[in-house]
Amino acid sequence: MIACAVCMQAQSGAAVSGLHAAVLTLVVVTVVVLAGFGHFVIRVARRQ
Amino acid sequence: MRVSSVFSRDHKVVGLQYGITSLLFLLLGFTLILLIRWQLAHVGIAAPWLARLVGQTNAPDGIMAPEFYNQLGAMHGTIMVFLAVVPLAVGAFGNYLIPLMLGAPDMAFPRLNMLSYWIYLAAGLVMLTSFVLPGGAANSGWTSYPPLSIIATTGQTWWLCGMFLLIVSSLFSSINIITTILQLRPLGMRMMDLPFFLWAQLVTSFLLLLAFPPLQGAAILQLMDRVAHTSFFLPTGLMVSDKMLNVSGGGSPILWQHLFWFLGHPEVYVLILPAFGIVAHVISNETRKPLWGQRLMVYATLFMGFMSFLVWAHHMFLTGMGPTMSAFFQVTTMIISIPSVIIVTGLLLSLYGGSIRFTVPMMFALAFLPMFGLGGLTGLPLGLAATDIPLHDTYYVVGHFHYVVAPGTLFALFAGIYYWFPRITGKKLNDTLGVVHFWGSLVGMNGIFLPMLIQGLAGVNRRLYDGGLSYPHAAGLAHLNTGQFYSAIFLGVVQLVFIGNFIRTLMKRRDADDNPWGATTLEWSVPRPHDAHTAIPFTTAARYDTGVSNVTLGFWLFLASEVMLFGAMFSAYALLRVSADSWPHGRSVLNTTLALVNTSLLLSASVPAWLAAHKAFRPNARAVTPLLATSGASALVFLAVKLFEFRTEIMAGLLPRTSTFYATYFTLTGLHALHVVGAILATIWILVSARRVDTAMTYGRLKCLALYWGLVEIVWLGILGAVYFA
Repeated sequence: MIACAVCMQAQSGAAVSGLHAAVLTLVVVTVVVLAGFGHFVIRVARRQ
Repeated sequence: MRVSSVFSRDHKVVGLQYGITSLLFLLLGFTLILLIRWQLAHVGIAAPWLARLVGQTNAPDGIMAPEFYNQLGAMHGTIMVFLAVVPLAVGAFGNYLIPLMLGAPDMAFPRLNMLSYWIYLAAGLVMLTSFVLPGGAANSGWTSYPPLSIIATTGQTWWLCGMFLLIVSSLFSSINIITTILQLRPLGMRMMDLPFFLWAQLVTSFLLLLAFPPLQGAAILQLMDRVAHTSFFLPTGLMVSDKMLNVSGGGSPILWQHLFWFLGHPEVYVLILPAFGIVAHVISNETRKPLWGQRLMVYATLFMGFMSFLVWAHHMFLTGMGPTMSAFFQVTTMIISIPSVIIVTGLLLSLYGGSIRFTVPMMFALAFLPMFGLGGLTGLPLGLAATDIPLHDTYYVVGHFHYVVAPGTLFALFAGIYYWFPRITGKKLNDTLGVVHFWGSLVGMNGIFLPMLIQGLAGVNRRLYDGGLSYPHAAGLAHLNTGQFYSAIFLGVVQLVFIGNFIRTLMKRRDADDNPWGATTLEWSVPRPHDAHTAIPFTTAARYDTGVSNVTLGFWLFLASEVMLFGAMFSAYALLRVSADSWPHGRSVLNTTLALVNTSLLLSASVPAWLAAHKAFRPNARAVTPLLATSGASALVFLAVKLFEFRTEIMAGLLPRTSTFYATYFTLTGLHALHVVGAILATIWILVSARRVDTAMTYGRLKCLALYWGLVEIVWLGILGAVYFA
């Protein structure tokens, strides 16, 4: 991997793809969980 | 002192226990940094007192050993962040004040509350004990980056165990705080009626609940690397001291950064949000007027909490993540600065037109604003890749972070201590000594941290044992280390004034009235002494506005943290698999027939549990017992099959250390199997205790068990798809 991705325009490579996959997985899980909380918050707001 | 008062479930006792313990950790963490600053200012100068203090091994002939210097750095960061500031901000202030501000008798789960404190204490003691181990404490920095942390001395294993305990404690605490604020509000108190302090604690607890589990997952993986010799974080061909490391390789050090910073960045908001809450409370009272734009500040806090989960990779610009991802995290990082600005602006505007009283807590609260502002503004260049790359790993980062946490958060915590001390003890801390403490701390902290920004801009790296003397570009600034050392000494002397004031006030007779600040918030309306503990009445009824009972909400929160734990594990799987040169297909190397058998066994364990929780069986204990027995028996057979599968693979020489694939397989399925064990134990507990408790309580427990089985089932299906059949 190239140390400075921004300078060197490194976009490919297995390691970079792996990190992208990991970040995407965690973002999806986090957004789903937070959406669940959001749903709960809206429910509470409507009941108040 | 009675044992019952030590192991008290009273939120006030637990809050005080957190407070005293975290203050002691704060003192210890500060002492470690005095040693670090001494070393940086006296490179190569022998000091016999140092050898006497820390031993010949750590300071041969009075000169600090580099290995010991590394231990001091790693443990200073760990103690300050995880054992001092967060427990003080959330454990102490949160536990003590939340029920009082709500007019509630206690926290929602008092037993869990007590347990969270004792687990926290155990975690701290485990970490401290590592100092006396051969090789000393953890020495890979507070971030524990691999590969260094994998090949480090035994202290790192203790660090990981301590961190694991700390996360469990934090989980209990956050579930308790969220449930208490949402469920124990007085009837008619809407969410927007809550004081800003409670909003800050609420969002902080959500961050703790969801951000810590990925680090727990990472700690499990690092423990596997250290104990079972797997290679989750070790790449192929790693050389240590000119020798090839004898491991399978195939792992990625970036995986640790990814999981660590998923906690690490929300942790910054865990540190700062309670501080905002305290400062807002003090400013509102000492200006004698409501906060300016409280509703806007609440929305900003909620938005900040949400966004804090989407910025973590700005700590990883140097990993070569690629411009697309780098751009995404730069944008989210710039966006998250907006709510911070809104909150600080709201606090500043709250001063306008107020009848300001310059009391000691108010002085700390006022100083917090520019100090946090400086910390925040110096963080902006670190959120942009182009400027972060030259500044990364320099003293600039250390200076920025310390401005946020030291004269930032710590000033807010001091404001809180001075402000609520009369509420807790009936005595007021001495004002003159308080003013000395405030001005001394302001001068001392700036004397330490401002030069760090200069050093960092000059390119001086952090964690240099010799303070940069061996580098020409840094040697010219070495004189700043001397000034920082004397500033640290001065800061220490000033803290002695605070400690003296604290002890002196505790020992004198009660002298303050019940409300010396003329506060109007609810926590001051409870007449002192309020040391009598009112047990919280247990209820299985759902609250009218949330629609759930305390236990149900608490359990859903627990499940959310479990989802984050397994989400992190699957994220690790994704990284390792996609970046691997070769990755075997699970169906060609694993026993998929046994996996399908186990799937059906899990279904026959979870379906009866769901049926038992169904309303149709609610009054019928006779029907529930065989259903639970079937569930437990199926789960036991599942475990037996899993053990057989493990045994077959181990007998064939396929161990976790064989390859990253097997490491992932054993760890994921093993962690899942532990959850099945948990379900079996819960089933037995419900069956045994059903005779002693009423039907409604048993029904509530059965619902929780059914939900838990749902999680276990879904995780298994994920493992089946990803590991066995993909």
